Amino acid sequence: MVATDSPKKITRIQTRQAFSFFEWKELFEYRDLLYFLSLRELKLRYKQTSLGLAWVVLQPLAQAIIFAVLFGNFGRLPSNGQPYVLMVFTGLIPWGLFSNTIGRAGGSLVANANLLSKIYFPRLIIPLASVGSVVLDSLVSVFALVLMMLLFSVGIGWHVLAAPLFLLASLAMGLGVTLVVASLNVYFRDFGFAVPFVLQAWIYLTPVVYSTELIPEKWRFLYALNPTVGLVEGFRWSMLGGTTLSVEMLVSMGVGLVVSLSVGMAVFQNIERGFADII
Amino acid sequence: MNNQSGSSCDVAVRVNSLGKCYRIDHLEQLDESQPSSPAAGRPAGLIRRRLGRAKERLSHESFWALRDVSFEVPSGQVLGIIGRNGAGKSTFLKILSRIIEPTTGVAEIRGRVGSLLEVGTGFHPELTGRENIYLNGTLLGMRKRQIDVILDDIIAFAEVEQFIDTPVKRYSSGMYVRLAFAVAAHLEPDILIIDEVLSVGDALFQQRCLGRMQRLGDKGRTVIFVSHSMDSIVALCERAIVLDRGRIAFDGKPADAANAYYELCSSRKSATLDFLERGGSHPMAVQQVECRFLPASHPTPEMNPVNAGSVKVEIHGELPPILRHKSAQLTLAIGINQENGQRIGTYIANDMDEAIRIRGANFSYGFLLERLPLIPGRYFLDVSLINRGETIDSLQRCASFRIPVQAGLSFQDVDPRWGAVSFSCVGYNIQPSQLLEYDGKH
Repeated sequence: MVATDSPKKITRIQTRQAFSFFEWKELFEYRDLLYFLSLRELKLRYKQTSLGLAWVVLQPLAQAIIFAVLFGNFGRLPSNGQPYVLMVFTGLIPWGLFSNTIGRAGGSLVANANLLSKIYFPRLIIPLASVGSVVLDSLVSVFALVLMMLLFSVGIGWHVLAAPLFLLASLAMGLGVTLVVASLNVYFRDFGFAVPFVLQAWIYLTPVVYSTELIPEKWRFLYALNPTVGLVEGFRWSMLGGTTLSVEMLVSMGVGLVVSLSVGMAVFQNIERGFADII
Repeated sequence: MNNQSGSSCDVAVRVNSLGKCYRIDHLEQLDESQPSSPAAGRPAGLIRRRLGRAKERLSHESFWALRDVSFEVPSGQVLGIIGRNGAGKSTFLKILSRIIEPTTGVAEIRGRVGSLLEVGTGFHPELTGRENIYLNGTLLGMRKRQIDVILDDIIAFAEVEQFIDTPVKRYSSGMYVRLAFAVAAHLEPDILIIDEVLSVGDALFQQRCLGRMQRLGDKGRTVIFVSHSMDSIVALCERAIVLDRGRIAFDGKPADAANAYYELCSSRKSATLDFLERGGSHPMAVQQVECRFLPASHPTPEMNPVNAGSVKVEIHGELPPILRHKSAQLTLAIGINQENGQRIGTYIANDMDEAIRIRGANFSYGFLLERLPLIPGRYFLDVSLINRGETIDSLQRCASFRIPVQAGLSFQDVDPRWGAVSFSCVGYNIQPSQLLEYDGKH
């Protein structure tokens, strides 16, 4: 019934060396599983909600309005000459990609313990599948952002072409951090408690709900060392234009991206083989 | 045992000195030792030590769940693996399925592996039958287009046509299991690894699953199959391996393997009783069960397989503190079962109190079952300790004995269909005179 692959593959099972290359080919062979696991994640997320996907937009929108009222109306904070709501909503999209990836996929290995201890498949699929719903969420949000920009009649410039790159970078950086968090969470569930708190602090170190203009000129360089600053400022620049995006921000973003992904993969690779023993 | 030791091409699975070591952390000063994080739990231990709980000192002990296991499985063989709880069967299957890594040794597998350590892995109650088929199928290593092709077969096999687009949380448990097994049964890997999954579902469905497995073997696929049911091991496998405390205790014909397994079970000491599943309020009271067949000193030369030997059972244990009281009314019961689980008889001893008055917390009690009228075969023992109708400890199949076939019998194999009881009976030829007398009465 099922077509058999002609040459029989030989699998060697033994204690793995401390350093080994990731088997991308195998991950690719399991792409259908990634698809169905992501689908499961999505279906379960919006099952029995009457508003469904609308929540994806309502949540950040409500957040943006609250911050606009607090900081924009009462606090009279600067917003690069854009409507405050729009500025916050734009910042929430890359930040959401970054932080929701960590938030949803960080506990994914522990949540899928039964799968890990009963069946073999590339373990990376578990955190990747949790990311699927985050990606969909931000796509919907981007659509909502474009509508908002039309509403506020903000023009779109050529730099919009860079927007996908910044979104991709947010996702990748989030994934790198996620891999570390998810693997260590198997050993110390403490991460489950620490992560939301750290993310909450981190959002204030990133120009999401306020503008970089607020940061005094002499502190800007230090500020730019936070790699997520580049993600948010970059995306805001590509959508709304004319912000305070600097070269330092982009460099630190690039470095952060490479470091988080490579550290994430290294940690995951090394701890992965012990998951089933521990979980 | 060497089935076709031909070219290495024919070997589906080659296992070489495979071992798996777990580290057990003991928390001293606490009553119960915690068999917590195994080998890779290093970081957890470090942290705990750093937190410096002075009163609990950690000590480690390594435990080899699997040690020095080597064998080869020729392509197309159906291999059974048996062993008591904790013998290392599941560890072994998990290593072959690549879920855990071995500590020592190498296993080489030729071809695609499908492993079924659980029925319906990844099934989610909120998803429909169809969605679960795809999810479970891809988890088992199938591609979407492969599932597209066999989807209808799976649905038909599971007999859930009407409900295929209903969330499985609305399924009856039977439907759920059937659907889960149907996906697995349609998996066609080169090597199929199965752990005790047949114990689910109704008898008819089980039979169909066994049938499918047998057909897999016929098609030249290799099957490695763990079971507690000697019947299915003997019926399905060409070869069986008995594991005992992580090592291979026997490797050969299934029927012989079953005997070797029973032999292991018959001499259970306290350490091995630990692995037994128990019931009752104080499930560690019985610590040792020994049982032995004593052949009669003057065997009677009869044609029937009557055996005049007796069986001696000794039970040792420690009573929980609340029962060391005079008001306790203890009874100890033993049950004798046939191989298929059919109870043959029960004996209840009411004079336990006496034994306790003599020995205190520790008790030892013996049963001497004289001239057991049983036909040759293997019999299993259940033991229960009861106080005023409340079960303190109950153990099933905790020991076994064998009644040997007597020398001088014309038949060596006793058919289980003959039953269990052997009558004491004298056969004689009816003389013609007696025959006439018989006729005359009519």
